[in-house]
Amino acid sequence: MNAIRTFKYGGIGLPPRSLDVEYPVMTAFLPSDAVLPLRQHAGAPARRVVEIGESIREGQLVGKASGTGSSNIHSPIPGIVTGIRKMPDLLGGMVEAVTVALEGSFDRLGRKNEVFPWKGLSKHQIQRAIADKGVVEDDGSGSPLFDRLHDPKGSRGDCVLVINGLESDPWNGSAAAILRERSSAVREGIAILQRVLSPVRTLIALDDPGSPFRTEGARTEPGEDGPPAEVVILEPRYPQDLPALLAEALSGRKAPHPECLVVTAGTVASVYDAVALNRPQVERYVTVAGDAVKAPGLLRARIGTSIGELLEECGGFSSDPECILLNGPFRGTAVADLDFPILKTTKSIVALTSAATLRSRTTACLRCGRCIVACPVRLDPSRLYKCIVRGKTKEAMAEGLDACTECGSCAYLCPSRLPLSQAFSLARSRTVRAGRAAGGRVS
Amino acid sequence: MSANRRGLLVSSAPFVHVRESTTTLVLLVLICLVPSLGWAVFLFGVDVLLIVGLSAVAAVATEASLNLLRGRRTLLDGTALLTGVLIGFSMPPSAPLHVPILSSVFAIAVVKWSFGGLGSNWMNPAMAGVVFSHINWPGSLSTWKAPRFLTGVDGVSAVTPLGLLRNASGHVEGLPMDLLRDAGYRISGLDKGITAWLNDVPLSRLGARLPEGYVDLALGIRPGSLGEMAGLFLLIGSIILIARRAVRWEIPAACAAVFGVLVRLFGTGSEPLFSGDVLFALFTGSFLLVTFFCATDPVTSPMSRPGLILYGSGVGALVFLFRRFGAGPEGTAYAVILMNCLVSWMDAVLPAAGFRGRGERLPGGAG
Ligand code: SF4
Ligand code: SF4
Repeated sequence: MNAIRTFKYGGIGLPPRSLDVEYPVMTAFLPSDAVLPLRQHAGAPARRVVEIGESIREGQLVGKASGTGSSNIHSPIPGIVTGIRKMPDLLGGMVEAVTVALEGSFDRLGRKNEVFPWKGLSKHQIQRAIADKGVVEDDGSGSPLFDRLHDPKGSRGDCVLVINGLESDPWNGSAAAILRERSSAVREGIAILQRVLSPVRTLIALDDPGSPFRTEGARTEPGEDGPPAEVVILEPRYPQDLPALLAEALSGRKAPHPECLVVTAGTVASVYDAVALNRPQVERYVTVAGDAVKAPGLLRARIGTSIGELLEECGGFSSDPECILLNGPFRGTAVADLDFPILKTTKSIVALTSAATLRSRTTACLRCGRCIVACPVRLDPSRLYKCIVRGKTKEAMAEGLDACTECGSCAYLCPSRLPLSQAFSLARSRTVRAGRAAGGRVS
Repeated sequence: MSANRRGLLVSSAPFVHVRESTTTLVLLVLICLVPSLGWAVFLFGVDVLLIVGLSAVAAVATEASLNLLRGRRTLLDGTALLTGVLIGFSMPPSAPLHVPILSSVFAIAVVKWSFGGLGSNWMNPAMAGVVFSHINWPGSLSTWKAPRFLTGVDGVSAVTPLGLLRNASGHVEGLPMDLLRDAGYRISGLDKGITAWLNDVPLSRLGARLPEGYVDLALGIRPGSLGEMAGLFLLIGSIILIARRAVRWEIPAACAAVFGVLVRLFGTGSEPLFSGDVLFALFTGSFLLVTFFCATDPVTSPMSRPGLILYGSGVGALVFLFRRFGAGPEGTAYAVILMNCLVSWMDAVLPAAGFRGRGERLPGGAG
């Protein structure tokens, strides 16, 4: 249990964390206007259930989930709906967004937490609560947790519950903050999930051997819902927070069996909030980091707060940023609009100068092989890139383009600065679209 | 890469990169060559700077004109500069100046750019430039200048140790070092001093003994091309290159191993079987310069580890064959170019990536 593990192939060692693990968490100011896009992750947008001018309470439902992949969206603040407009989302499309102007008093979330005796709930009731409160994975993917727990036919065999307490990259400290500040919520959340899943094992993956959770996490009592959680320390190595790689690292085998269900620590805390505290997912931990930020820090912020306000609370910019990234420089998205809101899936805001990005002129491929060594799924990025540049996407697919995790390790290491993973994600989305068009014609 | 009005970048991830870029890699190789150049200046005088400098300027100027012609901007990657410097390094210190200049122009214009510039050339431009010079000006490349410390050898008619062996082979039997001594290559005072110290202090503890003469070889106190002289400095440079992972160690390791074993077994020309002088073979000619600085060019070598080892072994074996049986004393550049021809085949049969179709896809879902 104490051996330091990691996944088998590729990956990159990254520079040390930019934020101290012990960084204090500040509570961000409430937004005067909360902007709530009705789609915050892949999947169908939620259906709006409020009208302009309507006065709403905090935690009130604003958007109702409509189908798989969609999740409920609640208002993080009490106030009045002042705007309904279209805005760009992070997936490259447009989405309807509700603006709530802060007004009135906090009649629920500010109160002392009343803990609901969830142990009396059935599996089904717990799952309903998780869906009702709009709990989604709090890292990039944002898939609704209900969809992942849901097992209508009862066909799920034995499963291993994996709590992902890893930081995705050195510009993120949210996972460590949650494990530190909300350790009892995470512990209870684990117990709740164990109740739903009855896993054969529960593993807590940490990348910081000094984490206070290391000893406490294992203290989860063995109950009727399975054996106690075990802590596994992983070597900090990018991109091992990817669920497939995490499962591989933990099982030490290529084909992890039984099925691994990977849930981030933040999501587990939200499960506790939803089930035991009856609180919707309207708040989250956000790391504000990067060398362009004057005073990097960790904030507990309401969903819908603009990234500009959070950057302001961290002292604003110390120098001109080259880019502002949501969810880190590796798998994140660049935003140009500082009014863009924090979503349920926004774990970090990173502002970097050119000294940190180390962009430079693109040169021809040197055939140095660094990208191949870095690829965790053992692809040959230089070859895939050559195929794509020549327009032979089919050939690239045959070479395994499909298996690319878009982790960006290859492009990070490429001395020629070729936009490898960028080209891969573009080519894939294009083939998906082309496939859809072709399918449509046939039917 | 697009930027919006605020000047913020909005392309796609990843947004950060490792410090190393093509330019920094080239720069590191150049830095590792500096001590050798300094030593050459010390041994032969500042004239050698002119040879290396003109060779480099010719290469860069050719790259610049081709950039203008083709509308591309590749000058700043520094690879042309490196090619020019390497060609300069393989010139004898007394080479007429037009030789390095024309060889560099040929290397860049014909070998590098006729295939489409950096990344598309299958042949190592520096090595091709060297071969070009050997073919066109064999005469002017076989007169050598005696370096500092080497006394008793006539400057103009000085012969490289390998050249000497080549002439002697077939006529005289004996170990290369003995042949050198017989030909009047005196051992310098420097060598005597250092060898004595080495034998007294570190080697006596190991029970080993270094004969005299090898320190002269390692320090280049013998006639030879200006960049090949200081084997010791080249070794230090290559250790840095390998430690910083600027070159892949598999090539020089395989090359030196195969070459060393073959030399040990069959000698370099005049010794009896199984008693070849490996140290002598490694430190003479352009072996170190070529294996560590030229054969390791990633553009013209394979990508997979087995491929690299095969390629390195091939270079080592060919260098041995050329030295043992070839017409000229040296064949390192030919060896590299011949192996270059096989690289695309090696890449095809020894793919670098482990991915083998869909079957190997990692299970586990999106998270
Ligand atoms: S982005 Fe894709 S190709 Fe590149 S290293 Fe990651 S998985 Fe491999
Ligand atoms: S890392 Fe870049 S330069 Fe090196 S082989 Fe891969 S694509 Fe080519």
